[in-house]
Amino acid sequence: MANAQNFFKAAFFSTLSLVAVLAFAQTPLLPLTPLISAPSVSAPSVSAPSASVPAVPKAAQESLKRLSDGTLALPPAAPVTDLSATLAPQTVAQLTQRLAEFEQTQGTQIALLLVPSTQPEPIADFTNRVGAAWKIGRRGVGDGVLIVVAVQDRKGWISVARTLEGAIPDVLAARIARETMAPHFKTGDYAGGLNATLDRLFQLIKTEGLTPPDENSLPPWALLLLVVLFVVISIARQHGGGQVVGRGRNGAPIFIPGGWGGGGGRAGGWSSGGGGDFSGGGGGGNW
Amino acid sequence: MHYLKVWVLALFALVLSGCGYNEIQSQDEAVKSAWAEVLSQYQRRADLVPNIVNTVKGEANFEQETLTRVIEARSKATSIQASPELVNDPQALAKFSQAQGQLSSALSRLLAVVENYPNLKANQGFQELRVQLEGTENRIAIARKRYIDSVQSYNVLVRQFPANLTAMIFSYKEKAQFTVENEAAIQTAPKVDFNVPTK
Repeated sequence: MANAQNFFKAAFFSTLSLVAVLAFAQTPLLPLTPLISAPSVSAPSVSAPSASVPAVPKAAQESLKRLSDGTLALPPAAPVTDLSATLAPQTVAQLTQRLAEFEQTQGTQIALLLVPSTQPEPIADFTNRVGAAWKIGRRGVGDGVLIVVAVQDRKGWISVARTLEGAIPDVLAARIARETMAPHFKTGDYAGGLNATLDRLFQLIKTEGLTPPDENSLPPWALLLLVVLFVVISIARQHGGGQVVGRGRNGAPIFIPGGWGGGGGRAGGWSSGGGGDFSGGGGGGNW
Repeated sequence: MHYLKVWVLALFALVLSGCGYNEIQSQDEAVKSAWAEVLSQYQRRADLVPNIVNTVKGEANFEQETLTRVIEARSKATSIQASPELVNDPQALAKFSQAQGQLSSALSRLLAVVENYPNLKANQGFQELRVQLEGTENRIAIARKRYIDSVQSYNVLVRQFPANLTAMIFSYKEKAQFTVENEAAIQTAPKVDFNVPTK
C-alpha cells in the first residue's frame, strides 16, 4: 500500500507543478503534436518554412460580412487576406512566404488585408479596429504592423503597434503609402506595390534593433514536464523495485537535442502573437 | 468539530476574496491609467500645435484671426491642470473636455482655411504636420474609447451585487462617464450650404 500511496503522492505533486508551470508559462501553449511527432533529424535552430505553402483558406473568402451599422465585420487573423480578389494566388503565396520568413528571422508579425471598401468607416478607423482585435505582434514585445488596402476606395493605411512607433512613425507610414504604394497601385500593379512596401517596412524594422526571436528549442513547460515525468518514473521504479537506500542510479541523463523543436514548429499554422497594442499609430494615403 | 473547521475555512476564503474589494481596486487603477493615457495623447496634440503655427506663420497674408484662435485655444487647453484626479470631479472634467473641444474646432478651422493657400497646401513640411495631426486625433479617439470602456466596467462593478456593498462600505462611487461638451449642438445635423454668400 505504501508503494501506491507514494506513487499517487508523486503523481499529485507532478500534476500540481505542471499546472503551476502552465499558469506562469510565458510562451503561448503550443499543441503537443509537435513534441510527439517531431522528426528525429536535428535541424539547425532557424529553419526556413517548408516549400509547400498553404492555400488561401475558404473562410477568408466568405468573411466579407457586415455588422449591423454597415461597417465590415472582422475577418479572421491571417498573414495575407485578400477579400477583394485582386491578388493572384501565387502572389498571395509569395507574400505569405515573405512574411513568414521575416517573422522567423526578426520576430515581427506583419499582416496584409485587402478589402473592396471600408465604407462607411474611414480606413484608419477600420485598420485600428482590426489591429486592436487581432493584436498581432509577439507577446511581451508587441511588434506588429497591419497594412490595409481598400481597393475600390483607392486608399491604403499602415497601422503600427506601439512598440514600432519609433521605427515607423506616422509620417514615414504616410510617406510609404504615398511614395511606394500609390505609384504601383495607380497602374494596377498590386503585387509590385505590396512587395516594395514590404521591402521598406522590413528595412525600417531591421534597423530598430528589437529583441531577436526565440531560438527554436523546447519551450520551458515541455522541459519541466519531461523532468517531472522523469522524477515520477524514478520514484515509482524506486519503490517498486525493492529497498534502494538513497538516490538510485536511474540510467543515462536525458539528452535533449536543441533542434528537436525546430523541425516540428507550428504544426497548426499561423496565429497572432497576441501582444500588439494598436493604439492609433500609423499613416496612409490614396492614389 | 468537523463542521466548525469547514465554516472557518469558508469564512477565511470569503474574507480573502474580499467580496469584490480587490476587483474594485484593480478596476479603479485601470480607470486612472486609461485617463492618464487620454491626457498623454491630448498633450501630444498640444505639443504639435506650435509647429503647425510656425509653419503657417511663414505663409504671407495668412488669415490672422484663424491663427490667433488656434494659439489662444491651445494656451487655454494647456492651462487647465489636467491630473489623474480629474476623473473624480465631473465639473472639472466637463471644463477640460470643453477646452480640448475648442482646440479641436480651432484646428479644423485652420485646416479648412489652408485649403485657400495652395503654396501652404503643397508645402511638404505642412503636409507631414497634417499627417501627424491626423495620427494624434486617431490616438485621442482610441484612448478616449478605452477610457470609456474602463469607466463602464468600473461603474458596472460598483453597481452590481455583491460588490456594491463593499463599495458602499469603503465609499467608492460611480465615476463620471466621458461626455461631449455640447451634446445638444452636436445632435442637430450641420447645415451644408454651398451657395456663395451674397455681399
